Amino acid sequence: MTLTSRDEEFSAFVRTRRSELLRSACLLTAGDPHLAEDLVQTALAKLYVAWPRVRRDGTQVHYAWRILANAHIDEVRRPRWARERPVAAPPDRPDPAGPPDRMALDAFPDGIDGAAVRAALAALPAGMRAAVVLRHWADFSTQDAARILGCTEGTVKSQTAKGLARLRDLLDSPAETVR
Amino acid sequence: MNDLKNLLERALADGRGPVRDADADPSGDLARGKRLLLRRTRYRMLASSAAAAVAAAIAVPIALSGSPAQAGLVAYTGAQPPGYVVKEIPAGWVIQGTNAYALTIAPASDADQNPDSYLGKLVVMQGEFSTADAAADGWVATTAAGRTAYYNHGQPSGDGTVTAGFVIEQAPGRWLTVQAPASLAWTEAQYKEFALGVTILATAKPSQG
Repeated sequence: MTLTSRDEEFSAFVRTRRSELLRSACLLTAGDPHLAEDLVQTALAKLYVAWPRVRRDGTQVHYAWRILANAHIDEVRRPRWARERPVAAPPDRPDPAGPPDRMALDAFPDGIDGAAVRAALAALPAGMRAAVVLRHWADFSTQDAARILGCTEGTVKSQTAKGLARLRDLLDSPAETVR
Repeated sequence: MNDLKNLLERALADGRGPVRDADADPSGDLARGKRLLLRRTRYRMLASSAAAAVAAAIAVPIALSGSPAQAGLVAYTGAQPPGYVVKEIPAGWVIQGTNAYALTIAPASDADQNPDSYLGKLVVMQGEFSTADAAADGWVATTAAGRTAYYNHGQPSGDGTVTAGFVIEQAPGRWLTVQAPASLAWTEAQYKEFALGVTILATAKPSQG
């Protein structure tokens, strides 16, 4: 196969970034390696199509993450759609006060194994999990995470803070998370 | 106590998560990306069926009158591209590039030298073709050297260009597809002559996957 400059640049990107994208996707999926691989393949194929534009803008990494995160949220929402139930309280809204999204990170107890962490991640709504992974695994800024998820910075802060609090609750009482 | 990053790392570290690979093989992702790009290009070509009749009415007079852009076929004397054997190409055009999924031919002076960009170029690929939808999509049935073929005078794309096409059955369910700018102003006979002069070798892959 004759490689064009686009192919070579894209290949170099895949060589250096694919592994971390796949590991991140595995966190987004709460430990489903097959779905994670599907998501990464989808994201990279779309990235190749968009390569001239995103390369010009220097947004290759953000674009790949945006597809990855949104594809996962779409994937999770699809089977749950039929199971939606009316609730008394409205869903989470961005906190206008903008609560801090980095809080008490050293408050997780020792001795937690990988299965417990995956179970706790699985208990988070997909968007909340994505916010946590983007901010605390991939180290994106609040602004970048908001761009990737297509929401406001306030939403990212709110979702991250609530996600951390929920993780802490779940991991403080592992019997609840490992069923 | 743990920070969150260490906890998340733990979720990947007990054999359930993928291992770090400092040098991942890009070939699979590259192939999938190329297939997606080709599918989108072909979709753009086929998507405007509703306007096909109007496009045909415009394109045929252009073809009959002869356009300044018209380029007759001449024997191809250069090195044969990997995966294909080409007998003739338009005069003044060159084989710009090839990969496992497509052969791209463009004017020698074309400013766009990217063989993965197909706008205004002659592109040969192989893949599926729905004969059931052909008429509705503006394709006209014909034959070439006794083989089933379809010709499309031209369909406008969203970007204002008009793309013509010719498909010829190579084997049951397997079609050689020629996509060209309508501005090339080829007649149906010229499309047949060009298509019959192209052989796709076994190393080329279908463009729809």
